[in-house]
Amino acid sequence: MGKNRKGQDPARAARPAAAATTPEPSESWVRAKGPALRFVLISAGFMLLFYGVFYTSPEDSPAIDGIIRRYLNAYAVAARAVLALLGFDVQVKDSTLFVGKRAVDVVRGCDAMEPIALYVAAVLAIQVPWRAKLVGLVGGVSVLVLVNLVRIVALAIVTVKFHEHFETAHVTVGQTMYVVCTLALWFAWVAWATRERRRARVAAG
Amino acid sequence: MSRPARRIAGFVLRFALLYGILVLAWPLARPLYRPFYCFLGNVLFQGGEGSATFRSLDTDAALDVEVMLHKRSPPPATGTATNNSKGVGYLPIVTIVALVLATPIPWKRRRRALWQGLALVTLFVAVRIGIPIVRDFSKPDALQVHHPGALGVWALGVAERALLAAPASFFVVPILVWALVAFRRQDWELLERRQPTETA
Repeated sequence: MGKNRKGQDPARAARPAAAATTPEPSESWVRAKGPALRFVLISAGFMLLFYGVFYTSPEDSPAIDGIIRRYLNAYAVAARAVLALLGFDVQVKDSTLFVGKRAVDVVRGCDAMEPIALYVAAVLAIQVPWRAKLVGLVGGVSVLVLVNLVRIVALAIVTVKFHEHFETAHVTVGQTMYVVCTLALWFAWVAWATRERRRARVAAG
Repeated sequence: MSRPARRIAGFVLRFALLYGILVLAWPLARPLYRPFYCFLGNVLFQGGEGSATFRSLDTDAALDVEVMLHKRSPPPATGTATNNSKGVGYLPIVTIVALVLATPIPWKRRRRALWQGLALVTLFVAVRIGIPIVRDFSKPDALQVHHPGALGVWALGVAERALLAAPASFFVVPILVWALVAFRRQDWELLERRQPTETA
C-alpha cells in the first residue's frame, strides 16, 4: 500500500487536513474505549441478568424469595454465634436478631448480594485464564460474605451500644465501606491474576 | 508492600476520604444541587399527557422535593409525591466524582473523565427520577396515563427495586461509568495482554 511521507494512507491524505488527521469523533471514542466498553457491557449484562432474577417481586417468584429468606436466616444464625462469642445474649427468629432489648432485622439488601454480584461480574469480564477467575470467584465471594457478616455483627453492636448512630453506621459508613472493600478486593485480585504478565513486561524491559 | 498493593491502598483511601467529605458536605451542596435536581426533573418530565412538576421544599428533611403529577387527558387528575434529592441524585454524582478524582491518572485525563462521567451519571439520575413517575402514571387509578403490559409492569418493578430501592443502587452504575470514562485502551491492554508464549 502506498503511503505518503508522513506515513498516512493516500486516501486519507487526500482529504482536507483536519479530516485527515482527526478521525471521526465517535469512531475514535469507541476505539479508545474498546476494551473498557467490552468490560462494561459484559458486567452490565451480568448485572441485568442478576437484577431480573433477584429483584423480581417476592409475589412473582416465591421460590427465589424462599431461598433468599433461608440465606438471610443463615446470616442471622452466624451473627448470633459471633455475638455469643463476644458475650452478647442473642436470640434469632427468622432473620431477626434480638440483642438485649434491641432487634436487628437482616432484610433483603443487608445480604450484600448487589456488591457481590458486581464483583462476580467484574471478575468474569476480565480476560484472564479461567483458573484465575475461579480463584477470584471462590476466594473473593467468601471474603465478601465474611466481611458482610462482620458488618452485620458490627451493626448489631452499634444498635445496642450506640443506638442513636445506627442510621449513620448502617447507611453512610457500612454501605460505603462495603463497596470500598469490594473495589479493593477486585483490584487485589486483578493484580494477583495478572502478576505473571507484569513480571514478563518488567523482564522484557 | 508491593507497588500494586500501594497503588490499590492509595486509591481506596483517597476514594473513601473524598466520598466521605462530599457526603458530609451535603448541607452546603443542597442549595445548589436541589434546584438543579428540580430543573432536570422539570426539563425531562414536564409536559405531555402525564406531566410532573418538581419544586424544592424548604426543609432539611430527607424528602425535600415535591413532585406534582398532572394527568391532562380527561378526566384530569392530580397527585403529589416527594423525592429525596440526596439519595436519588447527589449520592451517585458524589460517587463518580470521588472515583474519578481518586484514580491515579494525569489531571488532564481526570478532568475529561470527570465531565464525561458527570454527563453519564446525570443520565442515570434522570432514569432514577423517571422510574417512580412512570410507575405512578401506570398504576390503574385516576392518574393512569400509560398502560404497560405484563412484561412492562415486571420490568418497571425490577427497575425500581434494582436502580432505586436497593441499598447499593447508587454505586453500581457509577462504578461501571467510571470504568468506561477513566481508563484508556492502553490501560486495559496492559491489564489484559496475553503473556508471550514460550518456545522450546
